[in-house]
Amino acid sequence: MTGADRITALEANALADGELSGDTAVEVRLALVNDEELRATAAWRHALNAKLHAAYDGAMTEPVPARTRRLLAARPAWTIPAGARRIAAAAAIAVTAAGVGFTTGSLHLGASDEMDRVVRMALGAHQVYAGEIRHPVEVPGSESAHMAKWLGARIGVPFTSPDIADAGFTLVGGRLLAEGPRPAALLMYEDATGRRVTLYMEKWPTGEETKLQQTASGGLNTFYWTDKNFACAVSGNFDPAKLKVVSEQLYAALERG
Amino acid sequence: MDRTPVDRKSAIAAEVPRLMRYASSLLRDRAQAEDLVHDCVARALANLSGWRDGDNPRRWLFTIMHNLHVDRVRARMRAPTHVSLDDSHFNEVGQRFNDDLTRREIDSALGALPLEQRQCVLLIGLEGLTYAEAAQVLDVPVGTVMSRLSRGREKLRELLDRDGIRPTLRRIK
Repeated sequence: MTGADRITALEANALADGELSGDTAVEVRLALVNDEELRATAAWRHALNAKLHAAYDGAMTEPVPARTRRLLAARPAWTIPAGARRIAAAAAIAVTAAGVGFTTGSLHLGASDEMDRVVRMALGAHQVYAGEIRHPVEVPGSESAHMAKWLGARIGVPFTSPDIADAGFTLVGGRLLAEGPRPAALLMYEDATGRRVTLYMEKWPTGEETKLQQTASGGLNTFYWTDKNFACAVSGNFDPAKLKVVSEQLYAALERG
Repeated sequence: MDRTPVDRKSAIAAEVPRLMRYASSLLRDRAQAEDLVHDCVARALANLSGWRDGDNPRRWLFTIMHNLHVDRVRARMRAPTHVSLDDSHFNEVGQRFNDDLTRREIDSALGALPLEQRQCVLLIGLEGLTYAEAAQVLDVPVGTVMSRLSRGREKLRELLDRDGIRPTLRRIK
């Protein structure tokens, strides 16, 4: 803020919130002396905060639900019981087997239509699974080798699970998707704050290669490309520059195999 | 020195009351607030290694909760059954578990704010985060936090401040 700037409600709030110090604080204090509206803004900050505390402080002393207490009492890490995982995997395979009958319909589409579909499916899968807590994936990242082997076999292209720890992301795990004309794999990664990125992969029968392209939908960004074997789409609620770095690392890791 | 997982778990447990307060004020529905806090704790526990020593646990947990909430709002937008996005439907639900007039008034005024303004008003005014911390939790610049906060407080003043001095002339920028 320079002396030439008009002192506004933003600064009056910042002063009331204790965010200002030194000359800036003095300048804003002086402006308040001569401005009834700014004084009212600063006074309202205190009155409002008191009302908020009166309304919601009670929530701090309400009993913590038993399920949350159990979570904090039990061992850390959510692990899906092996039995439940086997059942989920068997169900996914059954659904996929039924889905294989639809395979060829989309091959009549042009490549860009086909890629549109891939991006739509990648976005849909991200939206459905990125918010899942208990069952975001079928196979956890702790079994990444097994996961890659299984998914590679199911989608018809072998791959090694990409490691993008350098970009700050750990593997949550993977799942098989059966909604499209052929089975697809969804790998999920998350950063230290739990923000998730998904990598959608399916076999790319035409074998053509396209470079990295970007699209956005509903607050999500997606980078997508094809190489000889795969159509891939990386989706997440990150700014494009950040997601591009992640996508390039995933691309490079898949290239290395 | 590294903190042990047990230390970290008890640090998370110590923040649960604040998470409950923020979730209650953000969602204004007890059951939804409990769900959000539960999922936040679950994700935090699954992510203990992502909490670097020296990180402020409160900011870390609020960030996780914010990201979960954003995912949820997006999932609701995608849900096949139409759900109004102005979340005025929360107001009625909120009344079920609290008959306190003040609480109801504030619930309903907060419900009238756009989500982005409500987050800033609550994180700073109720939870005591600094502007810089709120900017990190919400992943937006500090200037954006300041303008959302200012607009949110002004709107709440129009809705709630019946006794306050209302100047007859409003400043025009």
